[in-house]
Amino acid sequence: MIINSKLLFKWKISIALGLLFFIITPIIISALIRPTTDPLLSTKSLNSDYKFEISISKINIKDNSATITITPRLEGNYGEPTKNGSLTFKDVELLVDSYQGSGKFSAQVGQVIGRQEFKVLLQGNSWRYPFDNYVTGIGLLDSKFENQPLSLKEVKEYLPGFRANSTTIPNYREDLYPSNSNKDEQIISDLNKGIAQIEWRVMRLPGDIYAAILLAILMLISAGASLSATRAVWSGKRPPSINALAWLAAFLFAMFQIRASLPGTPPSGTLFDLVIFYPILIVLLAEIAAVVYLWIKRDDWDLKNVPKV
Amino acid sequence: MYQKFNSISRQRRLIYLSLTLLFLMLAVFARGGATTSDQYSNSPLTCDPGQWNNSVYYSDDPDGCPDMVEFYLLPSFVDEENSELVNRLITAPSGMYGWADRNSGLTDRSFTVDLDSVDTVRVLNSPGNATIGVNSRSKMSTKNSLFYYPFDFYNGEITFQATDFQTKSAIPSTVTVGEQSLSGWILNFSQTGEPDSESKNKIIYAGGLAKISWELKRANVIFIAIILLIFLMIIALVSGFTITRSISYGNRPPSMNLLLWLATILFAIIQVRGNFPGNPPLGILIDYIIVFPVLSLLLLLGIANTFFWLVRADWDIENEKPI
Repeated sequence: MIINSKLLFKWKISIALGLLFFIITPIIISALIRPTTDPLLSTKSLNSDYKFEISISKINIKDNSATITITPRLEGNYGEPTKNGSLTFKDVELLVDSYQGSGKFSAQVGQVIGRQEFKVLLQGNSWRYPFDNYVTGIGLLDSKFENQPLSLKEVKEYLPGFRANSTTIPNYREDLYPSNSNKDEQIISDLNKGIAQIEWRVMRLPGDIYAAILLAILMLISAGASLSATRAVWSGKRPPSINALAWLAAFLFAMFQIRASLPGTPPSGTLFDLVIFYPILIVLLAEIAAVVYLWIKRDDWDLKNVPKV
Repeated sequence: MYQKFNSISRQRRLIYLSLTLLFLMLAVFARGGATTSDQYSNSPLTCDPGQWNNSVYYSDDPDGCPDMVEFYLLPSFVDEENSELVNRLITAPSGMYGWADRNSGLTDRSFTVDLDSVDTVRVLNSPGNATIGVNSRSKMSTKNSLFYYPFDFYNGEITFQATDFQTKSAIPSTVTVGEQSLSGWILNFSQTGEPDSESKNKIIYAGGLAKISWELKRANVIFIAIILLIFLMIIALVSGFTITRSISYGNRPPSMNLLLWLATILFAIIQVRGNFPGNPPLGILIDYIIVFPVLSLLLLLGIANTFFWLVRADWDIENEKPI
């Protein structure tokens, strides 16, 4: 068969562009979709010497928990920042709405205090993997309030496989704030009283979502390839052979390996399994059964392709 | 070109119909995990204006809440290896004992919490501190246990108690279950008793011990996954058996390729067993009635094929009909 050179050139260009798109897309998506920070925890954070850095540092899906770290960054009358924390010039006590542990961030005058971890609850489940998302949050209350606003700054730490978008939320009911005050004013009013409520929405990283989709496509392509081979055997264009059976069995084996390679190792029985993995297993099973049947029934079993003389 | 099957279109329709039915079955019956609770357990304690004014549990809390402790249970995970259901227990005090927050509560008056867990726990909550959360580890019952996987089901009861640290008297309490589903499990919580008139469907345990029962079974999606994996094993066995039968009758020659295929299938079956959701240990009922017989029979088929390959003269003979 002679292929037109212009057509071949067009195909080459298309394939090159397709591959480029395929490689560049995840880089662009990962660069564009970044975890977001509430403005009141970054650019618009209150100007105060009573400063703390807050970050979400661990996500444990199996355990349904998250770890939040608080690092003091005290300045002025309150203390002096050190490399990993602060030297305190006053007693500090911050009540932390954590699930386990003391639930308190405290230090006495003259103490060097570093970052502390607090375990909080994580709500959500992995049913919609890789598009599953979770919610967690924490509440802070300065029990030694000295009319100095609580200044919080969020530091984004690397969460393997996840990104967390933060939002500050008002602590009290709407009617307890001055009328016509907007959300930011309500939160600033809370911070001025030494109170804060922060919520994080946790999602999978675009790179992980992309990898999961890629593996799903790989599974579908494998199923498609095996389906077309079986179709050719079924329609008599190719002979049924033990090699074809071995190839199908190897594909079946590979499907389990691909499933085990999904980022974040989701538990069995997610929507991904129902929509992709189990149907592909069923298709491969049906194909194995069909090829065995044809290998036994047809005369062209394991037939070699001998060219006509 | 060899003759096509006459009934291809009919068979194709049958295949499409079967696949459609299968996908419909998956769509309708397959459900991931779900946690349900009865009407007394699914909503938190409310403190509407005037709701508790005439209640014996109310003193003079400015928020209008009763002097009570609310136990908030949040299902966490099923520890299948140790046969334990792990829930998080959050203590949310109200009235003179404190107030509730997202992950804990803040304590105004000292009280202790006792939890009937595998590692029995007593926690002291001091004034001015966040209440301390506890992992409730409940032993899953040994009746109808993992041996009957995936039809295993479990039940149990969780008991808690809050005690005033100063007076040593029991603090009235109530129990609420959070909406947290466990992947692959259906969990149901229920309480027995009558709710108080002012509590809006909450059962108040005035005398001390608060109790909640739970039932745990595997989700439909797990049944579907297991049925599929078992079906896969049986198809592999039937395929191996049919091929060996054809060889033993002399219709097909014994071949090394077939032995390789049988070895691949044998490895695949072990992989399939390792992919049972929840990773149940070896020695469950399915192993005895499906996995071990399938493995043994495949091994026997391998031995039989090796025997044929060794003793028969048509070993690895090729089908050389010209095209």
